[in-house]
Amino acid sequence: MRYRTWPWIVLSVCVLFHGISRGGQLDRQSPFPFSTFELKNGLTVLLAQDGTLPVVTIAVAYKVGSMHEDLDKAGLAYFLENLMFEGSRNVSRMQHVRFIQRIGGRLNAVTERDRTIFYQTVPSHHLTSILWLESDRMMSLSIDQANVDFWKSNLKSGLKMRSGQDPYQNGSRVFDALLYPDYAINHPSLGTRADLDSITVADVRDFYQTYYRPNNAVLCIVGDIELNRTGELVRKYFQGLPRGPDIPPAPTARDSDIKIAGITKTVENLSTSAPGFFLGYRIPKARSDDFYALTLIEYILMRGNSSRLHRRLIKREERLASQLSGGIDIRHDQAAFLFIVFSSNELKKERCQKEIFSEINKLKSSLVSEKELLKAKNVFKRDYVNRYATSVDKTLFLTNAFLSGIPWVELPSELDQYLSVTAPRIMFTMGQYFAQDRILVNIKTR
Amino acid sequence: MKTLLCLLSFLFLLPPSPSSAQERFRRQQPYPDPLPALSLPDIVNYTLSNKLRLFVVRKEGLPVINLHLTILTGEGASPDSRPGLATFTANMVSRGSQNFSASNVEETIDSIGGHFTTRTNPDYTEFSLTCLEENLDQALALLSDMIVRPSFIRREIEELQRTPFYDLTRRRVDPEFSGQKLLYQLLFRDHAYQKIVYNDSMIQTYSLSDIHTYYDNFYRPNNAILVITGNLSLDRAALNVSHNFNTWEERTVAKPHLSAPEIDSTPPICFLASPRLKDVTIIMGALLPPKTSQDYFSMQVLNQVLGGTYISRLFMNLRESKSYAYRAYSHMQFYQACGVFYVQAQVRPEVIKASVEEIQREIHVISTQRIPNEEIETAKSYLLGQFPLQIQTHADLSSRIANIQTLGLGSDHWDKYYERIMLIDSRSVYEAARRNSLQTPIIIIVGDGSVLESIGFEKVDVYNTNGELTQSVTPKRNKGDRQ
Repeated sequence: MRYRTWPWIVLSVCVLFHGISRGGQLDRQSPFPFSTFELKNGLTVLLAQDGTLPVVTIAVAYKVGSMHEDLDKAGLAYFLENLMFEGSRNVSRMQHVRFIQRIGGRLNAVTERDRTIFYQTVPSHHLTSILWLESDRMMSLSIDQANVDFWKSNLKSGLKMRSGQDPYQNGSRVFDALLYPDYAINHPSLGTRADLDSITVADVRDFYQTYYRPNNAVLCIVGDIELNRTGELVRKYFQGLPRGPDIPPAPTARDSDIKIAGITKTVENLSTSAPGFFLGYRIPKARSDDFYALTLIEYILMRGNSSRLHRRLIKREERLASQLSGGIDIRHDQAAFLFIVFSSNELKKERCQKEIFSEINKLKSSLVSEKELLKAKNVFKRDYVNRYATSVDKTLFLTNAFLSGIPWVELPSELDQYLSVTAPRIMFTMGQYFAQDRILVNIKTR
Repeated sequence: MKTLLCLLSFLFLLPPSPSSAQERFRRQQPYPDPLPALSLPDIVNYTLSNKLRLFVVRKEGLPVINLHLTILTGEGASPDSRPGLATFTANMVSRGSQNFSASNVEETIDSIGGHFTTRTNPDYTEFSLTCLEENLDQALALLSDMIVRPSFIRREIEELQRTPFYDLTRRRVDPEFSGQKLLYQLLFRDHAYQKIVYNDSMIQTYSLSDIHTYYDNFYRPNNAILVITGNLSLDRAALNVSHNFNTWEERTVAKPHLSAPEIDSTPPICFLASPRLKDVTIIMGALLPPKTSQDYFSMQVLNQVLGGTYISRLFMNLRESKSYAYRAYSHMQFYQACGVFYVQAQVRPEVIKASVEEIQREIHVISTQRIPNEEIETAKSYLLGQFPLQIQTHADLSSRIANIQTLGLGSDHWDKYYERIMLIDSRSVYEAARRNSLQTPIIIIVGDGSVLESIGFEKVDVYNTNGELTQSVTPKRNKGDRQ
């Protein structure tokens, strides 16, 4: 049989981005060129050539994550992510993992609220094998009582180990529940022991057959590839997979109104002597008008060693905080701005809170200097361009852009949206979202 | 014939079912394409009048530039009474210079969209600064000021003396870190490399004068190389680098003579008590010849077969077959004077001796018996595959090029990497293993003190976490080695 080539592809849209002329304040280079098309069964394909080194990254992402789990099945999406390495009709258990290891490749998988991504980087002459492996597990994953029982036990052990290692887990859960009242996005994505216990073979099969279908997936290939031949190979291995039933609509958040009542709560934790707190403000979802300014606020406050809070909490001689993390937290179509701080004693913890509120108030009441804003933009730009530094970075950049629904035509100007934020806009945005309606969970220790 | 046609027609009318019918090509894993050529970027170089050597690698596609400056002496050059001084001096470089206060350094790194790291090993010290390409001039100005005109202010020294204290305290409870530290202390006994092992208390003894002396002796352009990776030409790089580094004064550098360390003919069995550890970490290590040795590539393949990955012999035996270990790997590290081979395994406390014996058995087998071709080819496939993955970023590429220069690996090391791996066969590995004995390693066991009594060895040297020998004991009996 001769496999049909490029022109037969049902929908083929080639989107090529070129560098924008340099000069001016927004001097930058556009992201890399890529092409996209869709197979008859609904699988979206993204391809990008990068012949710098003889390697290729292949990602298969499914538009499903922990927000699609039922009330008593927390952890099911992550469960299935692990099961995807248990073999399929033509692939034995762990064959996929061992093959990648044997050829010196790297692989990983990640489950988020609204997506599950499997990706691997391998020498480019092994591309066909990866397409064979990925198509086989998309077509016919082995799901039986033995491997379901194995992973139940394994994941429950993992939960136990994590609870021993993370003394702040309870506080974090209380905080999540207050900040995001909707179960779909506030429940623990690794599951709970009780929910893992209740997962059956039928649950896993149903979840797999509903969501792990070509029409709910995107395949992205970036690296040392020849585009026409790669298109042929993709069709060979994926076109024959049956389209699945229509995908059920994603759960809609019940709290679409992002206003929350201000709540302060204390959680006792006797297993550690280091107190801390979780502070969160609800903000609008990604790519909304204010989101770009909020991102720059994150950089002004806590990205880079010279950022305001890093200086005030970490760099001071008395080192107020032992750990500072947070920033923008995106969960599907909802988002929040977080400050997570741990200190060595209660007094320092209190001072950390005062410093944070003081910096928030300053940003609300006075304009950030152009110099500081430019510094924040440069740190942001560094992080942004590093999102397409290697083949795996490029693959995840494209895959996540697709899954987040960013129109391709907007991608080249995405960086500009951030770089054009002004100081008055920062001040205005601070006033909009950093009000009294915040969640504060204090961790009280022994 | 008609029957056959009917049957075929019938089959054709059946709806496709993924559970029963599938295309023939799905049944077997496809063969790979031919191994593509590894076309590495050209490295061009230029030497400044003060003997600073500049290497430039042109890499397009990402608007960043990496500057990687290497001082060609490391911890091996610290005074015997001041181990750790090379590392400390390197860390002081980013804490202020003539034109940048410590706080200005951080501010400037962020302002140029930069990322700065420092790393010291026994042979050299590396400074890596990556920035947005439009800020190259500021990045070079900052790097040159830090390297050529550091201020070494007393307040910053005291601040830094407090900082690593916290880090070392935290890392001391890591059994792999403390075990490896003891391994290096014992392998490099009476050798310059032992100075990579130092304690918190030693850091407190460094004076301003110590730092100045070390800096004046070794931070010289004729003892340094600068690698730049990014979208720029050698001409432009040479011009900018000359402008920023030409005031750096050349001076004769008295580098320490590094002979190969002595191999201990009766390596000890050591125990390092680490309270409340549930599992036991076993570290077994021996010396190897340096990377320039003819056996380097063969030994890489051998290491891969023995314990390079979780499909290697150690993992398959100790974890998959015997269930003794959670993990078991082997590693090789290379320096100018020698290499170090070591096995690291995390095992159950009940099977310490049995695990050590299995590791020794695997080392003995691989040292004395020919490895089957299939295993050799799998190991080569791994080494060939992972090489390009290690040089994907600008910083990784610079670091690799600097490494070739600092270890004197020769101009063809880069181009002939694939070829040299391809030429390795079972016989060359066998012969290399005979020339480089791994069979008498130092054995270090890190665990809770309660396991010492039942450890099963005749004589054990017990060390504390400061690396001090506290006693030599003869545990009472072998108890429950195998479960």
